Amino acid sequence: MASSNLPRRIIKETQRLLSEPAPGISASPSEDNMRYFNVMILGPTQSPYEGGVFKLELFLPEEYPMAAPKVRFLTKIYHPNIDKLGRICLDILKDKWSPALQIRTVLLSIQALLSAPNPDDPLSENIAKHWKTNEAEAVETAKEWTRLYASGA
Amino acid sequence: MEEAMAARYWCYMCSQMVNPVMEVEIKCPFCQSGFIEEMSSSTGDTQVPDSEFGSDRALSLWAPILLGMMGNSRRRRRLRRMEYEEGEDDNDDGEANLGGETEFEHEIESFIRRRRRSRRSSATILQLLQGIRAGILASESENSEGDRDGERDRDRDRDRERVILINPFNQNIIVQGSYDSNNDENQNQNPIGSFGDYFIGPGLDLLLQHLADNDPNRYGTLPAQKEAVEALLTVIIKEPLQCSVCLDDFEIGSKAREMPCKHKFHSGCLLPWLELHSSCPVCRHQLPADESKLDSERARNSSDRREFENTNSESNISHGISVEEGDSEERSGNGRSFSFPWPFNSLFSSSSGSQSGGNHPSSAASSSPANAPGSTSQTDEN
Repeated sequence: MASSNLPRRIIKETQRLLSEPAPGISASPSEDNMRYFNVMILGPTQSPYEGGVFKLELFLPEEYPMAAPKVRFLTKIYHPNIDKLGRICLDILKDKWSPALQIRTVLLSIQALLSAPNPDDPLSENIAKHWKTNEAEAVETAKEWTRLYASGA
Repeated sequence: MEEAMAARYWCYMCSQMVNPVMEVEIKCPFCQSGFIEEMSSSTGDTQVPDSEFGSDRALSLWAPILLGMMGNSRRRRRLRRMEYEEGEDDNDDGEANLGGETEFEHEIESFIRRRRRSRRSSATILQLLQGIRAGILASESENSEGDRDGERDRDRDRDRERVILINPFNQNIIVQGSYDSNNDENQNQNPIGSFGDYFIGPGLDLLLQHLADNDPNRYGTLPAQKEAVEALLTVIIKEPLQCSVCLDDFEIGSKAREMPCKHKFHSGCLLPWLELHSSCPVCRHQLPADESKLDSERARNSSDRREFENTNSESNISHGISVEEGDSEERSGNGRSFSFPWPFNSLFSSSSGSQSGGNHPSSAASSSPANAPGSTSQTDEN
C-alpha cells in the first residue's frame, strides 16, 4: 500500500542495499514504513569502535532525494562529531547534500567518520575537547563505550 | 551525602526534579537521558515546592538557549557546558543564570526590538513561539496521559510522543505535546507574559532539530536563476548513461538536460533540484543563483559562501563520489570535508556569523563555509 507510492529510486536503492550490502553496513527497511530503515554499522577496524555494532535509524523524508535522509545513532557512542542524542555532524547530511548521493554513500560516509573523528568540527564539545587535549585517553573512553554499549546483541 | 546531592537535579527531558542514577554518566532515572543539571545550591530545603520550578525557572533556563541561538553564542556555550556534568564552574554559571532573570528579560526585549527590523526572521520567531504555545495548550488538555516510561529515550518513541509539524513552505508550526509539569504554574502567570511560557519541556530541542531539518531550502546553495535554467542545453543521449538523480538508465536517443559542466540528467530530475539549489548534483558546479527572492543580507552571505565553495568544490565533491565508487578502500581517503555550518544561519538571517554557535557552538570557530572570512560581519544595524 505505502510502497505503491514509493518512488522508483527508493525501491532501486533498497533492492541494491539488500542484494549487495556495503561491507560492514546493513540497512533494511521497516515493514510498515519503507522510508524508515534500521541500520547497523560495524565499527571500522583500527578505530576505537572496532568490534562494535552500532545501530542507527535512517529516514527518507518526503522530499528525498531532493533533501537528505535523516540519520541518527541509536547506540551510544563516544565521538566528537556525534552528540548524546545520536545526531551526526556530517556536511553531506546538511548543506552538502546532493541528489546524486544515496543511502549507501551516506552510510559509508558515516562509517568513514568513525575512522576519522574530526574534533575541529565538533558536535559534542566536551568530547572534542577531550580528543584534542588527550587523544589517547579519549580513544580509550571510546573503546570503553564501544565495549559497554555496542558489543553485539 | 550522595543522596543529599542527588536530590537537587533537574531533568530537562522530564521537566522535573529527579534523583539521578550515578553511573559513568549521571542520568535521569525515568528517561535515562543525561540532560540533567544540578540545581543551584539553595542550601537545605530540597523539597522546594513545585511552583518554584515553574515558568520563572523555565524562563531563565531556556532563555539562554534562545539567546544563544539568536546571536549570543557565548551564553549558549555556557548552557551547553552545563548540560554535561563537569562540575567546576557550572554552579556559578547556573546561579548567574537563575539570578539574572531581569537581565534576560531585558535582553529578550531588546532582542525582540532588534528583530522587528527584519520582517522575515521576526515572523519566523513569532510562528515558532506561537507553535510552541499551541503545543503547550494542546498538551494541557491531554496531560493526564503523560506516561513517559519509555526506557530507551533515545528511541524514536519520543518523536512520536511529541509530534512537531512544520510546513516547509510557510513555516507554520504545530506542536503536539504531552508533558505536564508547568501547566498549573502557567495559569498563575501573566497570560501573555514571559517567554518562560513558551520555553518549557523537551519539545524545544526537537523543534529546533525539525526546524533545521525540514526545509531543504535552508541549506546549501540558493535556487538557480530561472534564466540560467532555461538556458541549459537539451541534448540527445547517444551512449549508455545513467541519470544519477533517479538512477535510471537513459534510453539511447532520448533527451536530457546538460549542465555547463556536461553532466546530464532527466529534465524532470534536474529541474526540481535547481529550484532548490544552484549546484550540479554530481560535481556541485554552480549555476548563477537566484538572489532576488531573498533579502540582501542572505544573498550577500551566500555569495560569500559560494566563492568559498567554488574554491573548494573539487575536494569536497570527490568525497561523496569516490566513496560510492571505491567502497571501502576509498573510504579512509582524503578529500573529505566535514564542514558544519549552523543551519539557523539562514533561518535567522539578520544576525550572521556569531550565531552559528547554536547547537554545536564551537563550530562557530571552525572552518565551515558559513564562517568563511567575510561572511561573519555583523550587520544587525542595517
